[in-house]
Amino acid sequence: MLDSPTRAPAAPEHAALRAMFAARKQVFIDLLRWDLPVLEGEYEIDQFDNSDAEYLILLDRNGRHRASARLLPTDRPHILGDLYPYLCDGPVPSGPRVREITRFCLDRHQSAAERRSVRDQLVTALAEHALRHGITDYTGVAEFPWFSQIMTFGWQCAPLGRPVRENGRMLAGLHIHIDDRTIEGLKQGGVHEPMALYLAGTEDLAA
Amino acid sequence: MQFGLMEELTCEVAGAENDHLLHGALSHAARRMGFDHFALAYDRWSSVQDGMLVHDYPDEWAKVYVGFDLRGADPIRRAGERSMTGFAWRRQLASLITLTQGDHQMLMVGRENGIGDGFTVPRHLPGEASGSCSFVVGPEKHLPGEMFHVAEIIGAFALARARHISGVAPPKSRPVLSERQRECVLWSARGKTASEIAIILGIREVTVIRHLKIARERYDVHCRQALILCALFDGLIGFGDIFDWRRMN
Repeated sequence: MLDSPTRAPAAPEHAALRAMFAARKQVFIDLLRWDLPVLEGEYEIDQFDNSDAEYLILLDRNGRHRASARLLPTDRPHILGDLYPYLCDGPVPSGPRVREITRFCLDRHQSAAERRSVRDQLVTALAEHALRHGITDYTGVAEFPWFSQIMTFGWQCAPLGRPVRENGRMLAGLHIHIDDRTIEGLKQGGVHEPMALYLAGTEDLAA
Repeated sequence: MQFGLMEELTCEVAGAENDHLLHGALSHAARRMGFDHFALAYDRWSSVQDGMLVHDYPDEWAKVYVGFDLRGADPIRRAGERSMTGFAWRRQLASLITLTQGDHQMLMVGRENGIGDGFTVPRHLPGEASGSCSFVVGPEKHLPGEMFHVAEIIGAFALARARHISGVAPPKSRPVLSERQRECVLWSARGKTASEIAIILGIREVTVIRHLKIARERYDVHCRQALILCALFDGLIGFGDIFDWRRMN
């Protein structure tokens, strides 16, 4: 039985999104040094941040960003299918029940222990979001060592092909299957963590 | 965290072009991690011939295992079906499955033939295949616990490679069952007879029998148990559909 997540109380419409785009700049550009454009010196936004994207954003009680992820439909242009199809041995998994997880972002302004807890809450939220909305599969492109973590969370996760070296990084395509065994698997993997923060989803932020 | 070693071994395993090279890469990886042997089994569900088995287990054990066709009774394989990530045999087997007398005997015979303890990485592709990659040590030794995370990643990539080498399953059209046929299969999985299903669904018994017959034909199986297994593997019905109902009743 899934409890409905605690909704962010009357947060200003775009504040959560702004906080997320700012956190993404701090993590992906400042910290990980990905080659991405910056908007207004503060935000990381790309061509996939369009009306098709869905977001799961974890906020603390003051509305500050703690973690977030972006989900993209796979029957439209997305990262794995359009930019990294060679990471898949076979056809790129796609369809109305398949989403790509992108920009999985843990805020820099927290301790390692907090970051770990927030990571687990977001992974749990992703699984519950899938179960609630009939999403059966997630895909994603991940860098090593991140993909080495994802594969041991306890959900059904397998590589889509061989890892590839690019610009000094090792990348792999991943496939995660979500079904009625997923939550139990995450519990056994020690990653299941009930939501202790506020979850803002795209449905809350729709204009 | 030994990232350098993990990257190196992963690349070697994930780049193997055929089963012979995969064997070499896994054998090398096993030793570098501190294990003595490895075994990778990959089963394509639709066609037994398309499976793959590569290993460097001691010959004596391989002969016994294959000769007595122990695969069907292997507790490690059963545990692999219950787990979604790697597990250590001595520490975790009993918490994953109920071990029978036969299981204990098989594990003992394994020990007598050079297989002491192991770490197995299972992976399942719904509706398509399942496989496992095991790394083992001899009877007098302990598993290198600090390497479990590395073994998990290498095992996962090895299985993805085995899948690629075996040939990725062509997108076959899944058997399409009507909603009524699906309901009959589900109640059958819940343990109901045809006449009981007829009462539950409010239709005639001969109709139930016909629905189940068509379902069997669509999956190309010949008995009720195989039909239920097919439907589960295909995702037509879920474990939760069966067991939650049983628990509530």
